[in-house]
Amino acid sequence: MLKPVYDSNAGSYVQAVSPGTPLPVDPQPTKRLLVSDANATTDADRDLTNSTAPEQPTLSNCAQYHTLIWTMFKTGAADINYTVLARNTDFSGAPLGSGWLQIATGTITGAANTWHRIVITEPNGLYYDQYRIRIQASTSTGQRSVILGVKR
Amino acid sequence: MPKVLLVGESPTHIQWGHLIQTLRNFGIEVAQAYATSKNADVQTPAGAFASGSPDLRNYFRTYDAVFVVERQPWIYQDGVRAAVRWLGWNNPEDTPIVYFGYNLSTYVNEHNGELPSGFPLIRINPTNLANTAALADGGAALAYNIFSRHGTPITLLRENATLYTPTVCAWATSGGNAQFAYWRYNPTLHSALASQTYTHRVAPNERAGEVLAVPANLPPDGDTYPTNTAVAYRYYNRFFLPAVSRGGYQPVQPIVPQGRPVHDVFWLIYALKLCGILPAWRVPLQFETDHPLQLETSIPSLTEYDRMRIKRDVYDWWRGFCRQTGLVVINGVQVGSRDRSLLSSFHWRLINYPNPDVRAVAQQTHQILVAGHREGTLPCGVHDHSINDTRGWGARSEMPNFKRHINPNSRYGAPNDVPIRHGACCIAKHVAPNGIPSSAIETTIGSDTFYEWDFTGRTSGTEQTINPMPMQNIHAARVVIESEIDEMLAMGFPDGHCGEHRYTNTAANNSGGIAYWQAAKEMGFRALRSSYCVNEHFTPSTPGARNQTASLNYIWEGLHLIPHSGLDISTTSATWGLYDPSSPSNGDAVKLFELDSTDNDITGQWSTNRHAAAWRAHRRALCRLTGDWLSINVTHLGAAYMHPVACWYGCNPDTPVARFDSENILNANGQPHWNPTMELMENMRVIVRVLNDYLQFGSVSDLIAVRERVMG
Repeated sequence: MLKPVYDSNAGSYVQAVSPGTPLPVDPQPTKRLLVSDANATTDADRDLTNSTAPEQPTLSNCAQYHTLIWTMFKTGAADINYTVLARNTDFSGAPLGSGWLQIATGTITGAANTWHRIVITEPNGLYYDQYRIRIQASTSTGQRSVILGVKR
Repeated sequence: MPKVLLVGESPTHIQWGHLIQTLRNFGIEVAQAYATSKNADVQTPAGAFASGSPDLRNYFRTYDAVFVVERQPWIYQDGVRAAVRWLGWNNPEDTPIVYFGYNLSTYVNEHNGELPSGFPLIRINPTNLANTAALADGGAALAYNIFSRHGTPITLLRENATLYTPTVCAWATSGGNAQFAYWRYNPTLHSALASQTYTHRVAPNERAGEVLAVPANLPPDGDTYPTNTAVAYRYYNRFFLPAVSRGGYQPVQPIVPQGRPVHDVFWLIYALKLCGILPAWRVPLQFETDHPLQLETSIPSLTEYDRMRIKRDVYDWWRGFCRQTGLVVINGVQVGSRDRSLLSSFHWRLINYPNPDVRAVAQQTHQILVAGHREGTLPCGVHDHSINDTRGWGARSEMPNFKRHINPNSRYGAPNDVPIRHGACCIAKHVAPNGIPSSAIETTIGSDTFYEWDFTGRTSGTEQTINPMPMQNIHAARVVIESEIDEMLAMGFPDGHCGEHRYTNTAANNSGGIAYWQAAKEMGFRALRSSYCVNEHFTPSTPGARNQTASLNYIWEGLHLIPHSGLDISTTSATWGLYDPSSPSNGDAVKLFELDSTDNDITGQWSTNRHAAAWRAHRRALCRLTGDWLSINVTHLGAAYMHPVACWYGCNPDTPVARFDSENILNANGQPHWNPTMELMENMRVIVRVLNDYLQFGSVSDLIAVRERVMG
């Protein structure tokens, strides 16, 4: 049986690989993909990262994720309209074409300092490469968002 | 790998998780079995065996030892009754069996007719204790829980060693106030066994009977025991030892020190020794102090100068002890008073104290610490009570008027304008698109790397004071920790992380949460002392209350979070010593540890026979401290720590490292001098000598090495 090797830089033991001790796999079924503290404004093109460029993805390389779970803490009182756009790329990472496929839209209502949750998914999973997540309000409205990617 | 089978009355009666974890900490494989009555099958990992069957006997032979773990008091007729049938399996190939605190009470009807005719231990008769039991502490009824306030020193006859450790063979009840006892043996039967030739690997004297341990009767406190008293006894290849893990069942939390339920772990380790089971490695004992320089008050006549020179002399002695034994004492130096708090009790303020006499001694103590840090005996690390209402790292969501260090050559000190919050936009690196702003910075927390940008209104500015300072993100944590290390360097320490150990004991045991763990790793740390609620505090309405917890194995991304147990003898701002009628509630060891009996055999005799009462208090307190240290260290692989002001002010300021001598050495208030730390160290020196194949004095790094072997 191979003995573990001590890695003094890491301060831990490097475990020898064997059928009984296989290489570790990522045990996390979810990943935190985005944290946003950007205001929603009257600009309908603005996304969660304050970008207003229509072709700019908010998230990229997301094909491993089945579902996106979006949690928002809305600090302003005004309603926030959202639109989730998606598309896929070729092997080189280039989008197949310009524009986006709209996969979700809606309005987040409620008083200031309230929590909201939006589950973005499709019956056979999302598995898109890129997303653009736009938010817009009738007046500048604060929000804090976290988006988790969920694997299956 | 050695294998031990634990046998109990039920799957839930004992702290199985803690016992199993303790044995695994020595690299010993453990299995568990139980039997609910004498005639019930013994349930084992290999299936059920009839309680006295040859198949069970053969199954036991596949183990290096069988440990029968009892938890029943003598008023009950229950217990691991099936084990009584195993007393006669004494061939050389039979596995040794240890009976911990075995209930031999006459109330256990199922034992009737089962004990071998030559069995020497006398069954305790609850209606005739005077003739069947050796009552401990003069028959006192003492507060009974996992700490057990009894305290008779024990002499181990094989090793000719006398030591203090929690020791109970039998007990009256399972809670409240209880009498405790050791066994008595029939001298005639023992004499016959002691002269009978017997061959087994666990009988080095080649005799069938052997008294292994007796009460030491050292202190002149009036306690005497019958001459036929046995604390531990070997009957052929069967050992009768004091109980372990009497605390009863608690949910299994293998690492979290919920109540130190294996307070009597000495006897578990000693059982390994008796059975000839060597560990895969030795478990290191390490120790820590918080606030090596502090100037709280207790006894009115103890001057500031006295308080300071007590610390100097104890640290000077302790440094020598470390050199002799290999013990490494970690010290959490209170930082923050240079840049933030003006509290006079903090380290920086004391080495700059206005009174020249006090300042001189403070600086001498400081020099001992700096030298001890450099030579490795007394490593020092940051310990910051100056932030978050004294609660330390991460304990508040923000802090008003936070003052950082002024050091333009540092990364995060004033006047450098640095982030103090996350950027408004953060995207995980692996899903970040092209086209994010070029101003984005890359940040890694644990295994997550992300880009963040838009820091408008989220940086420190150029001033020293930041108002308000957010306190729970990676950027703020970097500012906080760097300011602490900067102060350590200014005081002459070469670093703020205990040198090569890369560790510190955090203020209020708040390791702060993920942001602080990441920042600490970046600044050289690989371990922190930490509560399970890593930024807990006692005001749940305060933002940030209990908002993060450690993972169950107390390891985050390779950073070890070391569990802990405080060994202070008071919870007041400073102690009054062993006992002082003038002290406030919880102001001394007797009051805090509830060492008095129901008959007040300490406090009630303090004015009439203080000499004996003080000895009684000393030995009960020392047993408790010893069990506490061993339990947190060996069972939980954690840190025992104390505060000098909460332990040493009951010392005579002229001879603070003198051994306890009751009436013969008095402290500043005319009460018996007592240095709990020194007594504890010297007692543990004896224990390490007795168990030198199992324990060694060492460092937190040694402890982490064991944690990594055990926890992977």
